[in-house]
Amino acid sequence: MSLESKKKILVVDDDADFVESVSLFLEHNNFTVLKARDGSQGLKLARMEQPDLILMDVMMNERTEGFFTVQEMRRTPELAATPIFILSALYETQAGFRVKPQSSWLAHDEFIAKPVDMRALLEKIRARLGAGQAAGEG
Amino acid sequence: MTGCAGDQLVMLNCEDQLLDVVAALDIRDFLMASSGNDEECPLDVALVEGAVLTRRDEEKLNRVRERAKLLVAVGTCAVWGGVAAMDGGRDGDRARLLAETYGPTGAAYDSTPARALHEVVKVDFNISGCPIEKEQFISALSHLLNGNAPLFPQYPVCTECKMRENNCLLIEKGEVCCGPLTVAGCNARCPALNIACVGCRGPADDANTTSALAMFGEKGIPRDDIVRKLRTFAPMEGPGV
Amino acid sequence: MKILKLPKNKLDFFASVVQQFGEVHAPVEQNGQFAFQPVRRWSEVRLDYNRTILPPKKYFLPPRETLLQYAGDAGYVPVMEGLDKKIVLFGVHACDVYGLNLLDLVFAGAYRDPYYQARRRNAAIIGIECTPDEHCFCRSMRADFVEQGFDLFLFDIGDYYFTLVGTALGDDMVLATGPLFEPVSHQDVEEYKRRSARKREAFRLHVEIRDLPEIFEMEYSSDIWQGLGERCLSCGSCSMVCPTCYCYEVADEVQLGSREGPRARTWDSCLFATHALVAGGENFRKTRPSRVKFRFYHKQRGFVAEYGRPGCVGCGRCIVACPVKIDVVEVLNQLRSVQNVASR
Repeated sequence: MSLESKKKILVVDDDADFVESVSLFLEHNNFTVLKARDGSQGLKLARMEQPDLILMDVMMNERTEGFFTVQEMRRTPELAATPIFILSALYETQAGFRVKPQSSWLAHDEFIAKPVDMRALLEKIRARLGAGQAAGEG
Repeated sequence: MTGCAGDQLVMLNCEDQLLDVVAALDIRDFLMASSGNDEECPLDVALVEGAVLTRRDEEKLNRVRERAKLLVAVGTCAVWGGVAAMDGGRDGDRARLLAETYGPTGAAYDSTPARALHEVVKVDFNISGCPIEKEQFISALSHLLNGNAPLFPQYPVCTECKMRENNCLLIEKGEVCCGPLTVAGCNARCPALNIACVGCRGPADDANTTSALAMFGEKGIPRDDIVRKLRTFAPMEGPGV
Repeated sequence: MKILKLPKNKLDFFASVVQQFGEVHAPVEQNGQFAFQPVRRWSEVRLDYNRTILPPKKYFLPPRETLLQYAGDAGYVPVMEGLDKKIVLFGVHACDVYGLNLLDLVFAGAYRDPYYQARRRNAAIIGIECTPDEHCFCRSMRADFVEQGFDLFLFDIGDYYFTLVGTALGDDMVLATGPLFEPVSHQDVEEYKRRSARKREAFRLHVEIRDLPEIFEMEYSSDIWQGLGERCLSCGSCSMVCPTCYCYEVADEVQLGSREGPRARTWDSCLFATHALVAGGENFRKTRPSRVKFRFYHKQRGFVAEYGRPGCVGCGRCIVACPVKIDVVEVLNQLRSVQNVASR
């Protein structure tokens, strides 16, 4: 295992302010944060860095970019099992686009509506990864 | 024989499988890879690269043929004559070619028109390619060790191009692509990278050169240009063409 | 059959939601041609394509496929990995859906191919309507409209896609998207009918197939095959790109220094000299003219005898792919002694 003791989270979002605030928050809670500003950059970074978890925005250069980036990630063997949380205002801002609350998409693990409740996000991340410091061998 | 040794390099580049190769075969004579070679002992299989370009090549080849139960021609030069046999090297005036290349000393060189191995000795199997494909080399060895002839595709490069869904450079860009006439096995590597096939693996068994020439002619490409391109790696006359 | 409509401007949302049913593949542009690829971003998708280089058959009968691993006396183990991967083919034309239905007759009929069937089971098909180009003759081959073989089929009616729901899975897809789909009105139905009629008129290439098998019988010794045989390069392209060509060759590889290895099948073509070569050296179709003749006979006549309809779907791929411009419609019309018909 690497000498890094912190878990790595990749944030993929074109909203620089959001990325800034969520990064600060996560770093404060002892995570290492990688940033990408769109789907292709996110994909490249994910393949190189193998993050422990990915936070993916949906509406970037195009309004469904995040969803198809997730599909591309799942096609990469090393990323097939990486937890991915989709963070999006999609359902609030796009009239008429509602997915039944119970439906689960195979590709991603959680859907979190924006604006994001940071505490709730942190809880969900911890539930997946454990606390920020490494918990010994995995 | 006379060649660039590229095919031998491919053999040595088998990396992951090199140890398996060395374990499976008792290699007695491999000048490029070893300093301790037995040039006299009888052989089960002789893998011969390069074309016959000198009298010394010819003598050596004959000796190898005598020693070996099976002789495998490795690489386009050995199978077809290769670049050494291209237009001018064979039909042209050899003496003039030597003079142009080496000057007055040219006449003293042991240099004969290039010939493929089968034009000098009986060849049992062919592995063409410039250079050969690693996979075909390993496959050939595996099959030979089991007493079987290797089974290689005889169809043209077009088939492999389509299998990997390449764009067709011939039809879409009007390029002189030798794909329809060239034997597959390379997985259409060059067209996949937008480079028209140059025919380095030699002609497919069933190539229809007459029709291809007519087809290129209809595209307004001068016949001489095509012929010269097609004869780069293999003379157009020859077995199977 | 349930009929709904989907607003065109919500298509990307629909495609995103449909991911839950499998990895979404759609036609994308590739240097001026088109090919089905996994979707990386929706804006790359070109549902207005005329034809893809390879038909959807590549998903169900891949160009190269390992069937099993054999190990001498230990027997063999079928290779089944990857067969359970779920995919959604988004934007399949009617001719290609028809082509898959024909392949089903071969691989999921009397002879059941478990590899083909597994892949077929795990693929959802969303069809889309198209406009014929100068090489399309699916209407002549009765493949311009399909009643089955799709989960959903989309027809462009202006601001909406008029949607036919073909299966329970298609229905699940509609339900999964919540209120994206709307009921159709009478005007929508009228628009669908209008556009259908317009499409029917748009075909420029026609061939009569009704008594084609009999014409083939009568023209068995026609001179036409000699000329075609001299032109054909045996490059294999027509067979590779054909939605219903399914001939394959099976060969064993062996691992170095052992007596075990994979048995794999790869696409073959009856135009290859080795296709009808059998052990002992006999070749039933040694000459090229005989092989060209065979391909036409099998596709337009032999298949009829076996399965009740021609194997050709009129997609035009072979016409586009042939380097020496052998054109199936020209050939058929020549056999019928019809003059002056060209697809170019």
